[in-house]
Amino acid sequence: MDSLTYKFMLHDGLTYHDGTPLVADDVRAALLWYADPANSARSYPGVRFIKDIAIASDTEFTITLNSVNLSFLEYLADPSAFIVPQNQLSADVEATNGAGPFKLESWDEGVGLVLTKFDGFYGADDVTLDRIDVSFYSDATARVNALLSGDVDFIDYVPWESYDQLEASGFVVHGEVGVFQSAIFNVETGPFADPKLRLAVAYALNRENATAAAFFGHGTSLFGVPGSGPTGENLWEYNPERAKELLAEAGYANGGPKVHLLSNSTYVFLRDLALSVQADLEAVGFEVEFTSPDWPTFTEEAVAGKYDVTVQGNVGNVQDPAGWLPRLVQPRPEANKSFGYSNADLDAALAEALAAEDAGARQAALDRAYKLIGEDVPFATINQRMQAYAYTDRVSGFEVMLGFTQPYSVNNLINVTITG
Amino acid sequence: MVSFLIRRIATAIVLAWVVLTLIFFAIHTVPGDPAYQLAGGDSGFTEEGLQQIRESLGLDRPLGEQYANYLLGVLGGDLGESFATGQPVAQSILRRLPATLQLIAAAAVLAIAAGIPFGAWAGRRRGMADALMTSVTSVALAVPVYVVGALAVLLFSVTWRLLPAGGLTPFAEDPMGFLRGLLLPAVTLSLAFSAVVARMTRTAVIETSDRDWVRTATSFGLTRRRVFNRYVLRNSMNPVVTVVGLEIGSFLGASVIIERVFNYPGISTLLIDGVSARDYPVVQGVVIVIAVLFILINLVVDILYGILDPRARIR
Amino acid sequence: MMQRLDTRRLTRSFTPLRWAAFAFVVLVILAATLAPWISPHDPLAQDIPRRFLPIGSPDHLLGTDEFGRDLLSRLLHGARVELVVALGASLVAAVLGITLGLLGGYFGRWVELLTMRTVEVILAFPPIVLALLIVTIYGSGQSTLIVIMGLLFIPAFARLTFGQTLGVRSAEYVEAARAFAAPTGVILARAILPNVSGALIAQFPITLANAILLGSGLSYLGLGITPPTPSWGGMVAAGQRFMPVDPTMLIISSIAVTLTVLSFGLLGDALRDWLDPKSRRRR
Repeated sequence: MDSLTYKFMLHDGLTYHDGTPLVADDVRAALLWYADPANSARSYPGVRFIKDIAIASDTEFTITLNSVNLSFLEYLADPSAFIVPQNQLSADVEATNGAGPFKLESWDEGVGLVLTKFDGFYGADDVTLDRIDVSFYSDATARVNALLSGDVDFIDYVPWESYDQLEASGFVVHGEVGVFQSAIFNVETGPFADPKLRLAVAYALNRENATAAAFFGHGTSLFGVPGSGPTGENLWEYNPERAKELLAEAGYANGGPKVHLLSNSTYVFLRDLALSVQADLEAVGFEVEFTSPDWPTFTEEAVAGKYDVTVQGNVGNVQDPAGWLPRLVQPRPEANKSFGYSNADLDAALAEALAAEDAGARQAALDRAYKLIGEDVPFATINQRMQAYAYTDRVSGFEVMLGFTQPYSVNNLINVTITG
Repeated sequence: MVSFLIRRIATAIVLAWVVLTLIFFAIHTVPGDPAYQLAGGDSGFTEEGLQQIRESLGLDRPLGEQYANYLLGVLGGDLGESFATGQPVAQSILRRLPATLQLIAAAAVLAIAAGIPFGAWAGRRRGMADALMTSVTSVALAVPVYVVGALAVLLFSVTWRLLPAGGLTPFAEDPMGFLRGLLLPAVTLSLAFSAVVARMTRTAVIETSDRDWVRTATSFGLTRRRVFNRYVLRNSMNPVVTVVGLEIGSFLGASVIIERVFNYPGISTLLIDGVSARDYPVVQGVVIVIAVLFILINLVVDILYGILDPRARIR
Repeated sequence: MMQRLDTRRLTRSFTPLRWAAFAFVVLVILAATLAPWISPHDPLAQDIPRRFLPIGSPDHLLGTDEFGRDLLSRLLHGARVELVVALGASLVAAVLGITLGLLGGYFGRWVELLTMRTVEVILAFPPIVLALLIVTIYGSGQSTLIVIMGLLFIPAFARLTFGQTLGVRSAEYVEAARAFAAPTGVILARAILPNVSGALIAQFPITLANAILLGSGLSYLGLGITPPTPSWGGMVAAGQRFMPVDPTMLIISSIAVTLTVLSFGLLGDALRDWLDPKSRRRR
């Protein structure tokens, strides 16, 4: 309809896994519940744009936004915005009733779960698998070994060091590049309050080394904002001499300052990236103290700003940079954005881009935003990593989704078949 | 005898309470906010949302009050509910505990079945046999369990595809599959223990063989072999019993690594996952259950020892 | 009454294999002590374009790891780290454990209750669990590891000392010392301790071997020494990860740990045969 109004029609005869019908009122209840900030819903950043939902009938409703957001539909497609029965919209109820192609047959917490085909799914004729047995392997090597020894047919989150081994053994390794990593800073207290030092880091990072170390080369280096086109993708480069100049300009001509690099022991690739970053920083004169507690302590320290620099993974949940950039630069405490960062000009440029109705105005606003990012360095991107799935050659029909939606590929197992 | 029993049981109960208290206060002071972990970590949370979560978990109450509530619950058999899943902790533990117990029992059986004959043989034959046993057991004790596990998986699962690389099939579903899945982890775990059992048996056999009454028996014309099988072996078992009790502790430590390497769904994995998620009730529950198990085993060993050797009851 | 050094038992306790173990122990200790001076490279110096070089590469005798760091240097520095931690832990355990055992064994009654029950509390905790929690609170690192492993190894020393003290406390020379109203401390130190020291000295290398096993196990799980500081357990874990790419890392670090633990264990066996009369074994 117009850029603020979206009209939706539901298929006839939709039901949940337990047979109760899925109606427009359920959609309204679910989306509005997610939009309530007190519920801490993952889809909040997207659904908060909803001003109102008007129900026309059980299968027809209209959503009105309070401001233009061209990525709104993408937010709705995210699994965190799935529609569930109203009696599950509460923190206390276990949400096992859904409306997707597979229903939850059994769940052994921490060990695995079993999914079986839901015949009442509106596209049930296309669903080719009858049953999926999922086992949880928290250790990456154990996961790979399970595939190699035939215990399982399909694994996700393949560790990068095993890509070649699996391919050599006759398995299909299927991946796409999407998720990206950056160095982020404590800009409130400490040496990185000075944008020159942040810029120095952006020049000091040897991204190729980092990709080789953490991802065995299965990734692409980033020198700017991923997916932003020529104006935003070349903000920085690997230039340690320039980094040293910047350090001297900031008053550190003879080495120093001393900085605390916070990493974590849970996600090995983030730790390996951080180790590479440490070497790069020390090469231009920083003195780096390295700590790596486990993930919960790490996130607590990251949110509280108990670091000078850290390495974090990021993924936009929509493709449009104007949609996902705000989360990384707005003044809200989050573990994977720079602590204390706030830049009103940048916020304004991004808001303008998001609300712009014609492509030219959007691009102009985005270009302004990219320039600001290049100079003020709210984050220094390092690389994008490949995320891969691996499976036996008896499996076919699996598609890997592109870009930032890559991790959700596993949610789309319609059309997958297995022989033998 | 009765006073001995009562004293030991009373000590065991006090011990269990001390462990409970220590673990409660320890886990509550560890950094890393469980509310933050539950709120999804990196997106969309607000301070009100976090506070709501804390309230629903009872984390905003004063620590002493939380402790009292927990203690009362435990006495009534309620170990609380997992922060992450909401499932009763007792239930989760009961689901995973059998797997770990089966692993430890299998390893113990294997170790005793392999260790005693080996040690007895070395103790009886001496000379070359003894030297061989000492060398083999030394190596078995020195190789770290993670090295053995990794090699075992590599050889038997990945290269030769003889046994599964991990996981566990329930016995009811598929007895053969269950045994095959249990074999590698149990053998790996039992390696070091069989070495200990073998050594203990050897020493006990040697010492018993030198006793006067053994020589007397032989001088009466009983064959050396008969003497050995009937008398020496049986009387050497006391120290072995003690060692079993003591070593169960290291079993649990090694089983943490075993469960990681073989993706074996036991209680150690539940514990580590609980700590990683700061799921306090799960961590407390598992530690208490494990500690109580230990204490029980030590108690049984103590009592057995008291039965076997009346002199031990005096202290 | 001090025990004389029984040189005849010495030669009988130390078989050629055990002498080899002793030599290896000395080698490891030397390597660890001299590591900063004899390492060909800085163990932390990365050279990512030249990772996973094989053994015998020019400039890298044992090859390089996943960050291009020299394996030989990391092995030597790793030895240093492992030994420092293991030694520290064993000393802590020995000092505290022997004290508890002595006091409990000598005084009996409520002192015994207090000391030996403390030991039982330690034993009631699964070691890895305790280590996990402590490391999460105080962070990983050498001092944390020394304290936590020191605590965990107290029971071995405490029980050994306790048992030995019980055996000795009613001996005549102790009675004599008491009759002369010697202060308790002196009795403990001069009369009792020397007579139990044989077993304790023999226990020390065994505890050290166990400390290396536990410490490297913790590093293997990611709970021990923080990277980028080299540690043998961490190197085994990394070696396992990269085995398809470069098996030498795993093999070298596994051999290093196993041989070291083995040697300390054999040394402990030999010392026990030599110094501890009660566990004498006929050869």
